[in-house]
Amino acid sequence: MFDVLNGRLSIPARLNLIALCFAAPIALLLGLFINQVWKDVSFAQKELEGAAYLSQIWPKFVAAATDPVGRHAVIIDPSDRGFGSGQAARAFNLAQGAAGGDAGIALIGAVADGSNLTLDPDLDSFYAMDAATFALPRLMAATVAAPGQTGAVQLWRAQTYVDAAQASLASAMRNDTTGRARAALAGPANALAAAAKTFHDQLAASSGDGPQVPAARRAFQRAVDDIWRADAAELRRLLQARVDRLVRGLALNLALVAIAVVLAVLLVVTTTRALTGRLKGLLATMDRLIAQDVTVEVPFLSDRHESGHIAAALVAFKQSLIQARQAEQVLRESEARYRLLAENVTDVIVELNLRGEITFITPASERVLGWPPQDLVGRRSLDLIHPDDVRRVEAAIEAHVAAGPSAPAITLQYRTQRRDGAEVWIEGQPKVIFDAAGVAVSLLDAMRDITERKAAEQRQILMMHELNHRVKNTLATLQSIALQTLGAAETPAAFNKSFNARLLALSNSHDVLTRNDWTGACVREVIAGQLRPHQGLDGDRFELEGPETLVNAKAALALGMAFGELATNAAKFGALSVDRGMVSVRWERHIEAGAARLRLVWREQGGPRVSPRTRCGFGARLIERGLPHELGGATRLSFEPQGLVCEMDFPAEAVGE
Amino acid sequence: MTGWTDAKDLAGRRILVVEDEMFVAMMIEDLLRNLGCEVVGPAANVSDALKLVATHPLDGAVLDVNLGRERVFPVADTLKRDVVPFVFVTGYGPSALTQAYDHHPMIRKPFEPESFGDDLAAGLARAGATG
Repeated sequence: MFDVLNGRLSIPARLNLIALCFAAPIALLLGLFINQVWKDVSFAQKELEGAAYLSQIWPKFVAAATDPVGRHAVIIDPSDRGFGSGQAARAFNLAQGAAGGDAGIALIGAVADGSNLTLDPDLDSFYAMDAATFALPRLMAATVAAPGQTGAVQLWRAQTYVDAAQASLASAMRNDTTGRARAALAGPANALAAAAKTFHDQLAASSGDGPQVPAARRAFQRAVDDIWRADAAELRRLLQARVDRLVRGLALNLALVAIAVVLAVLLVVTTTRALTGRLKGLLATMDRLIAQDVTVEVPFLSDRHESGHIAAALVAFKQSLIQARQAEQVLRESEARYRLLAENVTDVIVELNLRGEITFITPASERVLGWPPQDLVGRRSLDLIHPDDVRRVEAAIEAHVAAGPSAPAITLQYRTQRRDGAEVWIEGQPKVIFDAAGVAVSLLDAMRDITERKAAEQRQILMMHELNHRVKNTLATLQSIALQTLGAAETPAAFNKSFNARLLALSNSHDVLTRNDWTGACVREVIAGQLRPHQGLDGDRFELEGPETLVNAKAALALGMAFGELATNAAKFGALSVDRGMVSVRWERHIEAGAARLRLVWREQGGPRVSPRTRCGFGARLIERGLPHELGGATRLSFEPQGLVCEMDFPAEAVGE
Repeated sequence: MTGWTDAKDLAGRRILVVEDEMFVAMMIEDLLRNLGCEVVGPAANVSDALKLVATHPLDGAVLDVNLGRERVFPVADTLKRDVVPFVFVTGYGPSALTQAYDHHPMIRKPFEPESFGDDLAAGLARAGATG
């Protein structure tokens, strides 16, 4: 139950509850105390009233008691019959004469009983009361002789009550430490003793009826009356003093309680306010810190106790908050930097989860793969890879993951398909991300588009093959030329000369082709290249005429060799062997049977008279059989009297580009 | 056509030459003539070669693998069908051959003119034995 209360109530409310728990029994005790004191006061007050009433009826009692013959009727006013003394008062009013004294004594006793006087708890007032309500009334009654009473009996009665009264008065005086009772009662008591002695002496001397007896009785009666009045006054004073003391004591105690209550309330209020003020201040600081406000100043740092400790803890919290914010700022800047890098780098940076699904990919994906990042996130990366490469890539990555965090980096090359269907070569450098426990959590890959590089590599391989092919062909060609030249040569010098010329012809054609990247050559260039070694004699001896015509590399080489042979032959035997000889080469494109063809004619003029050939040399064989073999079409060598004529006619398809 | 062991066995044989390189064709022609062969061709492309195969009785063939943009394999397939032994000639080595002719006899370019006849006879013998 207390846990529930503690959980629901604020600290000030709990303090108030504690104060209430203490205040309730204190108020109850206070009530009981006040009630008790008030009862005592009422008790004493009633005694006081009783004593006052006794003072009122005392003269009537005296009158009745001292008049045994009832000459004066004494009546107690019915309105004065307090303290349950109505019955006794009526008896007193009816009793006259000798019975008046006894009825008065009974009345006084009834008043004493009804007003608590006989129950008086204090010794000081008890003896005064005893004298006033018991001994002195009886003494007063004893001053008068009852009918038939002898003087000796009267004396004995009077002496008995004098002794009783004197004893009570002595006790009353002795019990009063202030000395006031003695001051008030000593005189009348001594006077009583003296008057009693005088009365006793007179009575004894005159055997009851001497002339001095009535005077002595009256003096004795006055002395009793005096002492009664003094004693009644002393009784009232004591009772009043008791009431005053009780009231004063109550007031004092109430004042003390009030002061204590005020002090307690002040303490509770100030403590609560101090505590709640600190709590409020600390709570407000906490709220601002929770709201990430680090500008707040922590209060109560100088407190030495709990609030100081809490304040110190809040300062520590604030410091850690500031540090965390700074760290966050650094992290944010660093992240922004990496984001900028990732978004602007041309490589695609991709992050995969362990299922191989793309969780993050940089915008470069659109350029490399054709898909923007939002179309790729969630897809399996292996689905993007060329089917022929999937297994290899998967195996490599699995092995890399299995090798653990310390495995060296790997580089993978594989193909993917762009969104538009084009094949893209990718070079990836996958890196497995491990957590602190060494468990793989994700995979980062930097994917680079190496399609260009791959194509270049492919081109290079093709070029190497092409070069190899060309070199091999060239070597085979040279071997063929060498063998054929050797077969026709009569001397090593002749072989040397012929072979070099043919080597030169081949080289010239290569030069022409190399200038055009081996894609082909102009017919004019091919022919001019072969005539150049002979042109030094005279530039006007050649006539080249024909449209701008391109031929492929194969045709350029074949034609080059053919024209080289023709030129060499002309220089040795034909038009170029004499000063005035001329050579014309004409070419043209024409259509035959719906197909384009290239026709070339070599014609010599002004040379020595030509005689029909005697044997078939390398040049003739090349032109008549080699060219048709290589290029299709037909060739014809005519040994006409004016000079050699060579006609060639090829399908454009075979020689063209 | 089995039982060829050396160049002498080539004399009088009809040998088809398929070679697109003019000078190489001329050289092979010369070499074969010097060995006493009767040269059929040379053919520079597949269609010419197939025409020659169809119209000439043949004892053997020398086939260049690369014929410009063409490959000689249709000719090889026809010769195989006709049980005519043949050898390939190429500058590229075995990688130029298809799977079907992986281990078929082959003479590398450039030739050794002195041993060409023996190489050719051995190649044709082996081709005849396996083909």
